[in-house]
Amino acid sequence: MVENNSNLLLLVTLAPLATSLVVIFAPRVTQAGFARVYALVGSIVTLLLSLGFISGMRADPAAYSSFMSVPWIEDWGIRFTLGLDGLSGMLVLLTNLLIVVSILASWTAITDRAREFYACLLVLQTGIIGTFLALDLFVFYIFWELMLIPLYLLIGIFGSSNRIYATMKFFLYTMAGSLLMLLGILTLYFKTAPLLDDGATFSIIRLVQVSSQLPIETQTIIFFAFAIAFSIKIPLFPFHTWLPDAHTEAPTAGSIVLAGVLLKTGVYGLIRFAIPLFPAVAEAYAPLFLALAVTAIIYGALTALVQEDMKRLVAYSSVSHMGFIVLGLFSFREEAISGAALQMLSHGISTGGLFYCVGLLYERRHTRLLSEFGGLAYNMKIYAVLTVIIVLSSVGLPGLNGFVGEFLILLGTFQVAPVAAAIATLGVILAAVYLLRMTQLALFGKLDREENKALTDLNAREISGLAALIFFALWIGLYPRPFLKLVEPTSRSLAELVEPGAGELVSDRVASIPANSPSQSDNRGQIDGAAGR
Amino acid sequence: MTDVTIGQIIDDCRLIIPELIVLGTLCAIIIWDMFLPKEKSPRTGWLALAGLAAALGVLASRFGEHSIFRFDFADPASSLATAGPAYGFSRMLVSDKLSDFFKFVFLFGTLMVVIFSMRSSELRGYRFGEYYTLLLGSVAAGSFLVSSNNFITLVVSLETLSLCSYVLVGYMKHDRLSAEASLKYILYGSVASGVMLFGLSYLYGMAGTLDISRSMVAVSLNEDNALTVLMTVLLIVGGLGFKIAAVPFHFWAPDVYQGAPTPITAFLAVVSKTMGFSAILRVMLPLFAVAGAAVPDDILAVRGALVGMIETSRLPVLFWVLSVATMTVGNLVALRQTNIKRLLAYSSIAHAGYILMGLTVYNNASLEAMLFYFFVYAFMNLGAFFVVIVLINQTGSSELEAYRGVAWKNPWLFICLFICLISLTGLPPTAGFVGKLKLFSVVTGAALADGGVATPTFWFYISLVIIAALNTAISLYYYMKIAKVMVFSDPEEAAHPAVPAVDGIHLLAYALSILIIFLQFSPVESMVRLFGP
Repeated sequence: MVENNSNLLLLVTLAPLATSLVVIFAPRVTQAGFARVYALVGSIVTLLLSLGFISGMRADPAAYSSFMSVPWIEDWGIRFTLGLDGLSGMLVLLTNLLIVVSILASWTAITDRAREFYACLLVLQTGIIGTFLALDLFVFYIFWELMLIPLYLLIGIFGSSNRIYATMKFFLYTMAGSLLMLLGILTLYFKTAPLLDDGATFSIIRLVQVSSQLPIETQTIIFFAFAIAFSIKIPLFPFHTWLPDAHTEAPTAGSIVLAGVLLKTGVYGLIRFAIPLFPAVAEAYAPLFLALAVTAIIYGALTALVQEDMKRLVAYSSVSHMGFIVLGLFSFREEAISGAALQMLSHGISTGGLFYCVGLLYERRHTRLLSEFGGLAYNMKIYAVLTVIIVLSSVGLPGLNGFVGEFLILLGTFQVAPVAAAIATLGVILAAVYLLRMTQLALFGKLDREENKALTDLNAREISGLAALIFFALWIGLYPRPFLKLVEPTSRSLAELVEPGAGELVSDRVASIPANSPSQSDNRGQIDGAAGR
Repeated sequence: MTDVTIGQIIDDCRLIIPELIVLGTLCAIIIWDMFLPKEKSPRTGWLALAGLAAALGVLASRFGEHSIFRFDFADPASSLATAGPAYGFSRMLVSDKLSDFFKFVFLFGTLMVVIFSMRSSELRGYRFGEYYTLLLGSVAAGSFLVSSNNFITLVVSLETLSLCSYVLVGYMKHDRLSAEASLKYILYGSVASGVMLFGLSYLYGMAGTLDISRSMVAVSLNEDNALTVLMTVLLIVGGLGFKIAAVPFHFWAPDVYQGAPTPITAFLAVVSKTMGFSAILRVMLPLFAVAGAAVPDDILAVRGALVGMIETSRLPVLFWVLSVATMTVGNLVALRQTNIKRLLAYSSIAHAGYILMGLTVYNNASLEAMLFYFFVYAFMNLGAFFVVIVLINQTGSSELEAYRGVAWKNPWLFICLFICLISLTGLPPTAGFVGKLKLFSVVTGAALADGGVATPTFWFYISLVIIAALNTAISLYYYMKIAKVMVFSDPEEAAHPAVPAVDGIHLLAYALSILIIFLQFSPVESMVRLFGP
C-alpha cells in the first residue's frame, strides 16, 4: 500500500503546474487565444486523473491509499511526503471539479490577458491540491504559501474597482497567520526532536505519535499558532473581515475557487494537523471555538441579510456556513465531524454555484446590486430554475446537499452543547431569509428595467458548468452514504482522540443500512504502518 | 616581532593570494587606462572581471583549508597559539573558514557589480579606469577586513573600504544627488570611525593587546568588566553599525543609496553591508566559538564564566534592541517610499535587522544561519538591483511611477523581479524563505533551550521572533507595491525597448538560482558549516 499510486499522486499535483506552463506560452490568436482551451483541457485531464484515486479511497478510506515519501532535505529530516485518504481525496476531487467549472465561468468573462489569468488559476490549483495531500509540515507550509501568490495576482489584476485594497488586506491577513503557523511548526519541530528516537522530523504521522508528551503549555501555544492561521483562512469570526472584500473584488473564477476550496484548507488544517496533534488542548478550548462558531453563524447571517451587493451577500453567507463547519468540528461528536466534513464538500458546491450565478449576471449587466435587477425569471428561465436549485441547496432544503451536513452537525452538537446548537439553528432559518430575499429581489417581481429585458438566457457552456454542480448537489442530498463513508474514519478517529470510545458508524444511522464494512481497523494503526514502511 | 624574515613574509603571502591577484589587477588597470582614450576606457572592465574571476578561482580551490578559531578550555594558553586557523604577518591577518566564506561573497558580489557597471547606462560618459580601481580597492580592503586578527588591521582596512566607497558614491560628478550623497556618506562615516576607535581604546585598556581573538577572550574571562564589555561592544557595533546601516546609525543609507550610481548602490547594499557584518562577526567570533563548543565536564566552570559574561554584559539584550529597532524602522519607513532605490535601501536596513537576530544567540547554528542568510541575501538583492538597472536603462527614472505596466511589456523582466521580491519577503518557494527559516529556527530554538515555556528566556526570544514574523508580513506590503505598480496598472503608451538578451539571461540566472537554492539548500549549508567536518 505504501508508495502505492505514488506516480498518480505526483501527477495529479503537478499536472496543473505543467498545464500552466503550456498556457503561458499559448499563441495569442484571438482575444482569449488558445489559453482557455489549453487550460480547460488540462484541468479536465487533471480531473480525470484524480478519478483514479476513487477505487483506492473507497476500498479503505482510513488508510493512505496513495502514499509517496522521498527524501528532500535530509539534514532537516524533511521528506517530500504526500498521502491521500478519504477526506483529502474528496477535497482534491472537489478542487479539480471547481477548477473546471471556474474555467468555464471565465470563458468569455476574461478575454484580456487570458494566458496570465489561466496560468495563475492553474498554479493555484497545484497549491491547493498539494495542501490537501501534504503529510510533511514543511511541504504543507510550502504549498500553503504557494496558494497565496496566484490568488493575489488573480484578484489584483482581474478584480473589480476596489481590488487593490482587497488584495492587500487579504494578503496581509493570511500572511500574518501563516507566519505564526511557521513559528508553531518550528517550535513543534524543536520540542519533539528529543522525543523521537530516529531524529527530528516534520512528518505529521510521526509527530502525532509524540506530540501529546509535550508539556501542556507548549501544546497550547503551538495549537493556537496553528489555530489562528487556520481561523484566518476559514475565516472564523473575528478574523473574517478580509473575506467580503476579497470576494466582492475577485473575478467570478476567483470567488468560486476561494469560497469553494480555499476556505476549506483552513478546516482541513484543523482536522489534519491542529486537532490530532493537540487533542487535549482542542478539547479544553472547544467552548471558545463553539462560541466563536455560533457568533460567526449569527453574525454572518444577520450581515448577509442587509447586503445590497449580491457577492457581498454570498460572502457573508459563507462566513455563516463556515461557522457551522467549525461548530460541528469542535463538538467532537463523530456524526457532527462527519457532517462538518460533508458540509465542506456541500458548501464548496453550493457557494461555488452561487458565485457562478452572480458572476453570470455580472458578466451580462456589470453590476451586482440587487436593486438593479428584478423579474429576471421572465426572460432568463433556465437561469432562474438553476439558480433557485442552487439557492435551495445552500439554504439546506432536504433532498439537496446542504441539508445532510447541517443536520448531522446540529444532531451531534446538540448532544454536547444544546444551547449552541439551538442558536445555530436560528442560522439555518436566517439563511433561508437572506438567500430567498436575494432570489426574490433578483428573479421575481416586475421586469421593469429596459436593460434587464434585453438579457439573454444561459448558453450550453454556462448550463453545463451549473449542471455539474447541481448533479452533485442532488447526489449528496439524496444518497450521501458514499461520501460519508469516505470521511468516516477521519471523523471517528478525531472523535476518539478527544473522547475515547465515542461514536458508532454515522452512515448506518443516516442510511439505516446495516454496516458490514471490514475497514473498521484502527486508523492510527494504519497510519503508523504506512510510516513505518 | 623582531625575528621576522623575508622568507616568512613570502610564506605568509600564500594566505592572501586572492587579495594579491585583486591588487595586481588594480595596478594593471591603472596602467592600462593611462594609454586608453576616454571612450575606450570601459574596456578596463574586462580586465577587472578577469582579475576577480581568477581570485575567485584561487579562493575556491582552497576553500575551507583552515578551520576556524576555537577556544580550547583544557589549555587556554596554547590554544590561542596553535588552534585551527592560519595566522600570518605576525598574527596581523588570519585565514580561516569564516574569512574564506566572506571573501567568496565579496568577490562574487563585486564580480556582479562589475557586470552591472558594464551594462548600466548611468555611468556612460565617465572614465572607467578609476572606477574599477576603486571598486577593486574596496573588495581588497573588505577581504583584509574579514581576515584581520588585529584591531589595527581592522581599522585600516575599514578606512580604506570607506574611502573607496565615498568616491564611488560621488562618481557621477555632474549629478547633484550623487555629490550630495557622497558628502553625507563622508560625514557619517568619519563620525562612525571615531566612535569605533573610542570603543577600541577601552578594549585595549582592558585587554592590553590589540590581537582580536586574544583580547576578546581575555576580556570575556574577566567577569568584573561586564559593563565595560557592553560599552565597548556598543561603541564598536556603533562604528560598524554604520556600515550595515543598523538603526540608529542608518540615516545616511536612503540618501546615499538613491544618489549613488545604481551599480554602486548594489555594491553598498550587498557587498559593503556584508563587509560590515563580517567585521562584527570577526570581533564577536571568540564568543561564538566559546559558547558553542562541546566541552568536557571539568572545564564547564570556565565555560560557565564565559556564558555568564555574555549574559551579565547583556549582549543578547543589546542585539535584541538593535535588531527589533532596525527591522521595524526599516520596514515601516519603506512602506511610504515611492523611489525604488530608496525603497530597496530601507528594505536592506530591514534585512540587517533580521540578520542581527542571529547575534542574540551565541552558538554554532546562529553563526551558520547568519552566513547562510548573507549568501541568499546577496543573490536576491543583486537580482533585484539588476532589474532596477535594466529598468533605469529603459526609462531613465528610478521612480516607481515610471514603471507602470512594465510587466505587460517585458513579462520576463517582471517574473525575475517578482521572484527576487518574493525571496526578499521570505516566502516559499525561494531561497529567502530558507534563509529566514534558519534564522527564525535558531531564535525559536534558543527560546526553547531551557525546556520550559513561559520562562523569561522563552519570552525574550519568542517575542523577537514574533516581531520578526510581523515585520515580514509588513514587508510583504511594500515588496508587493512594486509588483502592483508593474502589473496592476496599464502600460504607458511610450514604447519600452526589449531587454537585451545578455541581460535577460543574466536575470534568469538569478531567478533560477533563487529557486534552486530553495529546492536543494544542503550544498549551501555545507559551505557555511564552520564547525565540524
